[in-house]
Amino acid sequence: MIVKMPDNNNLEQIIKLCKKQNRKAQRDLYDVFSKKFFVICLRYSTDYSEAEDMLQEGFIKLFAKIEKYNDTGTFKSWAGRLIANNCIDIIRKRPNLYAITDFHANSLETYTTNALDKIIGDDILNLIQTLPTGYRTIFNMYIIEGFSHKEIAEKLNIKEGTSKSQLNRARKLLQRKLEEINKYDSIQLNINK
Amino acid sequence: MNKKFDQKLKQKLENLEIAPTNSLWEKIEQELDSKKKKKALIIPFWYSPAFRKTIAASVIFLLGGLSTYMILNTNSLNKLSSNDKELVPESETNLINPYVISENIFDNELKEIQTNEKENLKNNTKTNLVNPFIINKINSVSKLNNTLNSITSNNYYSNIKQENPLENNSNKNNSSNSLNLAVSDYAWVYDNNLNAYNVVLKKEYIQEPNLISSNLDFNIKESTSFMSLENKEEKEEEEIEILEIKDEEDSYKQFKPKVKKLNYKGFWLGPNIGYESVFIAKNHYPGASFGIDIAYDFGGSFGLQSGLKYSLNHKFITLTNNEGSEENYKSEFNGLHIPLMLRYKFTKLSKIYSKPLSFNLIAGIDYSYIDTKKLNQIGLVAGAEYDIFTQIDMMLTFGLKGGLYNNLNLNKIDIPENINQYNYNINTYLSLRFLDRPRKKGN
Repeated sequence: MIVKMPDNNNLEQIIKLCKKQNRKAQRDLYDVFSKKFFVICLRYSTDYSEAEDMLQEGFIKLFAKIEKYNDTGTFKSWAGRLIANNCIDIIRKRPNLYAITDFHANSLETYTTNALDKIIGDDILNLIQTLPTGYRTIFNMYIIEGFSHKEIAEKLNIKEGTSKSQLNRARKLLQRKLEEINKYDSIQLNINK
Repeated sequence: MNKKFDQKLKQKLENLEIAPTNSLWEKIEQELDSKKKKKALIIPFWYSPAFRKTIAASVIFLLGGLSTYMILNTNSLNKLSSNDKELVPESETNLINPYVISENIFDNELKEIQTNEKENLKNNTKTNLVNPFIINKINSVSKLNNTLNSITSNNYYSNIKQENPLENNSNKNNSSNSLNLAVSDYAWVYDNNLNAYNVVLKKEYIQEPNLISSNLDFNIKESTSFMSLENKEEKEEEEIEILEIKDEEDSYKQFKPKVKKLNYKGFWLGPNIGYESVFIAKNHYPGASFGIDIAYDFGGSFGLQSGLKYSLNHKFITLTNNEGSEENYKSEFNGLHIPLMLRYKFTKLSKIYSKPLSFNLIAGIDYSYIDTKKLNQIGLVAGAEYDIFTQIDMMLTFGLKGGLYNNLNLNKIDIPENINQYNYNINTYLSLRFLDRPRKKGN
């Protein structure tokens, strides 16, 4: 099913009806944004099942809090932030979130951004999902959501230094994984030749 | 280098869309339905645990007080049934204060009087009766009935009736009320000689009407009508000579009791502690309260009550910030209260203590300043209190009051909580109140 993004007037109408807990409008809103928001959940989770649980809970919260949306800023970014925060809240409750992975970031070579050119979004998402939870969370919060290290530290109740080091490790780990994929693809290409 | 990497990565993910499984919406819909049902089942506030706790605490206070009263009352009756003594009229030569009751030191004298009186009756001699109301341990209905029966059987009533300056002949034959009177006709009297308070039959004030307090609310008419139960013919046959009350004035002056009004007149002051429930919007803020009560009782049923009270109320609530995320927040509504209330009290003398018990209704206004929110409130408050006098100058009070408050400067303050224009609270409290009344002899 292809759902077109409604124009502003229609979206306003949907939101208005959602504030009145209109079920059809809620369904419409879900249809419009679920795919987008599912990607957010996938970024913070390790698999589809976990991401769906996050999305389900996120939409329940969204419908409960939609009356607080006051038309300032775009609904998409307001709702997206709410879904992301819900994911962070879920992850925050887990124990051993920041267990250090046996990984030597310094031993990595510096990779260029070229590795990213050859890879599609779905694969990047898969790679992010393979990161340890702590790395993944901070990586998402800093790079995608745009939180500062101070904000991350406050939200996750960790030190700023921890946030920075975890981000650095996450980045290096991701780069190494990308490089491995790149190498594999090169080998495959050479074999095919 | 890192920035470029980050930007590229973000771009790759920006327009990515992945559909969740089709059944997800059904799950969401189910959860929405179940939440809707739960919402529909929201019980009224009076069924909430907090409200029930408040009510339970109040009931415990009330039942505790009443139970104590009942238990003590029962013990008193049991004692009386085993130690019941006959009423003995006092002989003319006896100088014992005729108004003092329940002092064992008079037992010997009373026995002598009793013996003399019996002999006099047997010999059909004329007996001069100074006061027929000397009673030992008059603390109960049974004792009072015995007392009054003895009075009537000895035909002492007629002279009292004749001399009673307040007698109203219109109610002479209204005997149906007399027993009730016998139950409740006490007075609380301070005796300087004994330095103690004693229960005295109010009827005795017939002989000294100036001592009658308007607050004692007793009815001379009904007292005399009780007396008129006696058969007049029998009285004439007995030919008992009775002293006129005017002749006894000198002896009364010697033992003139000082009557304390049941309803205290003057200031009282004391601390209070309590449990306060504040209901703001949909949230309940439980907490404690403490303060000082001050009041002036006008001597009758009315009084003015004020004081200072500080209440500590808080609750942890979840707020959504501008970014849409939830944060735990300690919401505090601590504040100072200054009430001004009118009191109306129903006072009754305890049959056990010989001291008053009061049930008070209070109502008035309450200004409060919630200092944690800089919120000014004005409220209408009303409640009820139960006073138990533990000493002559001290009483223990259980109270329950509630108030509806208007938040005066709600629009001028910036607080994260969504609160309404009006909120209400319920306060149960325990007070110890000290009366401005000397305890020692000679007051």
